[in-house]
Amino acid sequence: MTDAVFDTVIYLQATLSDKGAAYACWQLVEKGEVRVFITEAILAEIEDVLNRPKLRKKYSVLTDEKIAEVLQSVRAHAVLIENINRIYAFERDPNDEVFINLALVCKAEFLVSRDNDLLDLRKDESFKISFPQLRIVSPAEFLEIYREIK
Amino acid sequence: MKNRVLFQSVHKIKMSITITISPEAQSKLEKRAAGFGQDLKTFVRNLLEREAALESLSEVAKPIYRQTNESKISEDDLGNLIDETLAEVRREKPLASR
Repeated sequence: MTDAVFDTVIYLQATLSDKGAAYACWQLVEKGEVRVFITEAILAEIEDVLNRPKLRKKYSVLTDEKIAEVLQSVRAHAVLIENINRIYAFERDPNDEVFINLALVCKAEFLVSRDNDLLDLRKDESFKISFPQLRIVSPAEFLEIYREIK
Repeated sequence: MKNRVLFQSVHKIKMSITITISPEAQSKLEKRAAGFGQDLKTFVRNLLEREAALESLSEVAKPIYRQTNESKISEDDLGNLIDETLAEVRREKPLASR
């Protein structure tokens, strides 16, 4: 099994669309091929975004009950991690630090994100030397690599 | 020494399974069950039945997908909408401080 951490956007895009790479990434989780790690803080963030008036207005089906079902399903398919040590300090975006440290604590092989701050870490030599086992990839890249390694 | 929990599905008594758990796990689960006013057998059975009743995200989100498809929004535009909304949320509640 492949271990991964998804950033919040991946969960949101997989919840709102069944067409893109994020949905395909989530399908690997539901099929039991990829194990994904999550925290309560990430779940709370997903909930807050789905609850924003901008989205609730656009999606009439995005009711309180539906959001609860979405979160319950994500929670059921992901591994919930309670304590994350601060292994790496990411000053460029402290919000992204959560995903990096979650991946490092869980020894995940992949951090899947389309956030440029995170993706740019691939060019950071000191990061690569310190954490050679972690690959930060976009959803499309993750799918491509996953197909190759399977 | 291992302890065993035997339970049956209450709905039409379809299946009984026996599982082996450690004494430590048994003790923790019994405490948790007591917190819900349940015995261990009922607590574990409810856990399993709740798990079985859970639908996948792809199932749960079907009505949402239908609205996305009907709106004809592109994947890129949807991505932008998500990014903007997430940025709003993080301005109010940074993930790092949750």
